[in-house]
Amino acid sequence: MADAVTTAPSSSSPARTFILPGDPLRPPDTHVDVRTQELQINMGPQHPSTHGVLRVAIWVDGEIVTRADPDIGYLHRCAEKIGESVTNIQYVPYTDRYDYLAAMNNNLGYCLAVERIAEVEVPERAQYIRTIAVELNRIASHLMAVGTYGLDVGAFTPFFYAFREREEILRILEWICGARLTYNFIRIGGVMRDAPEGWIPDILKFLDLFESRLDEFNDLLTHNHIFVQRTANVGVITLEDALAYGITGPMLRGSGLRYDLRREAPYLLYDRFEFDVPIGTGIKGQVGDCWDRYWVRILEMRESARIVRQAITQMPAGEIMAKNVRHLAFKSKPGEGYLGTENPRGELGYYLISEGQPNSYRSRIRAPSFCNLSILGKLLPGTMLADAVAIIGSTDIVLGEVDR
Amino acid sequence: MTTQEIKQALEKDGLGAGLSLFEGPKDPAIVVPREQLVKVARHLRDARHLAFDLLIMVTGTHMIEKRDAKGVVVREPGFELIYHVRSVKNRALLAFKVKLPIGDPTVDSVSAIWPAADWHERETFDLVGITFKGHPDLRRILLPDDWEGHPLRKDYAYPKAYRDINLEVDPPWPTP
Repeated sequence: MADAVTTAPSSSSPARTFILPGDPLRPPDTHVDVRTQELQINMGPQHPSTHGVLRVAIWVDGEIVTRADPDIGYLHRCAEKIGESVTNIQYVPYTDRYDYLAAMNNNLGYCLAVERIAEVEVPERAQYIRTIAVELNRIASHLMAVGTYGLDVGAFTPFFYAFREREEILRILEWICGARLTYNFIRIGGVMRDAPEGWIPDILKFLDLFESRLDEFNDLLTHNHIFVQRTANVGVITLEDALAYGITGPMLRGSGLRYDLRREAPYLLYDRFEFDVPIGTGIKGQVGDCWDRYWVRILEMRESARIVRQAITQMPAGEIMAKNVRHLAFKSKPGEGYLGTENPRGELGYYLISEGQPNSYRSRIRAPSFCNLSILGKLLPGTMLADAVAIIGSTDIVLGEVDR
Repeated sequence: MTTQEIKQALEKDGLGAGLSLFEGPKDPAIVVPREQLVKVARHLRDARHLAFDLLIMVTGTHMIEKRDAKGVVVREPGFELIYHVRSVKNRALLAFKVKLPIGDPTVDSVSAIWPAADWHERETFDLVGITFKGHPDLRRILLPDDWEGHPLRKDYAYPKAYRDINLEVDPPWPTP
């Protein structure tokens, strides 16, 4: 059957005949009618490895993917239309629902964009609380990414270890805002409430534990031979491709570019903290393979923990909310602008046009998963079908954000 | 690099024809005539002193006519396309705009220059209804293929039904 697999067929080709070599029961000149043709497979929208409702139409030739066409929009909720019809303050809870694994970061991106146009001064204490909240949420989001990634390639146990830590973070975030997934905690002008008594010591206690548990996680999954075999040298994105397809965040850094908006275009107070920007260096395979993208996320969790510690030490006392935005009909100033923030998945940007009304004239979300997903059509052809799962998992998409 | 400096650089390289500067109350942008778009975009990416290699976002806005208190038209109706690009090397973010008339919302695609534009242009086509000439695969991306109309247009009428699903609500949808 070797011939049948290596000959590239096309769907329009008629039935072809092959001589099967080496079959002792058949005379050597017998012709057998073997039909080869491309097969189209629908991966999703209910497939668990697509992390939501992504449908990828995959054309396969045997086990090799020849063409892939991601089909999105199953979770489309008219985000941008809603952004035009509700007021800026009413829109904050909607932003939770886009990237629901990093809701704090979404709140932050939108609030910063509105504050920039409306020229709202946010008190310093609020900025520190914001930093702590978004960095903890980044850790939770990365834990979800690496945990489910293990699940995608067949490692079930590490998932529970990742979720044990994530649960702690959700408990900490629930403590301060009362919700576990969609927080609506960061508001335009500040944050919803001040750090409660005992919250900060609890975070420190968690961080101490977390760093040692990350080592445990590395032993379990990161250096696991089977996991490395499934992910190293698979789905390599070169730096040129990454830039051309507008890829940002851990995926871009996995391809070897030290580019983090917290460094390149600091927002909030990130210029006050010391932290490294980890990049993929091809330890287990090539630069930009699935393992590198995974490894960047693991290293970033440590950096986030470092930032939280520094933020806790530097945090001053004071107000947590700007004075002039405490009513729903808060009017922005006329103007238009774009602000990009570093989400766990990449650059989350909000482009807003304001006409001085309580609502925006145009509110556009630049969702990182949307752009990161668009490379799939280029990345999948030529890989094995089983690797398609590993590659989709390594992009760490959230469909709520892709479809908006 | 500020937007003003980038515009001067483009003028120095002989691409200044028809360029103007949009200076809104917040972020400035270069306004590019639509005939020049592909030429300017290619230069922005390829010129070594500019090197805008990372396309962040493409989107369109339906601008309705705006009059001031005296009834003088301060903004003509039309479509505005806005492109955001980053230069990794120069640590710069640039916004440039293309203005399109209401009757003919077509523009050349930049997806050959930045492949990232592929999906963004499909989304803009889907939601705002701008046609990109030369796009390899221009079809709806978020809405179903048989959807009618482009929801982000300001004159979009909510459909009464889609296939067999009744979409009418009581009270009716608010009109912004």
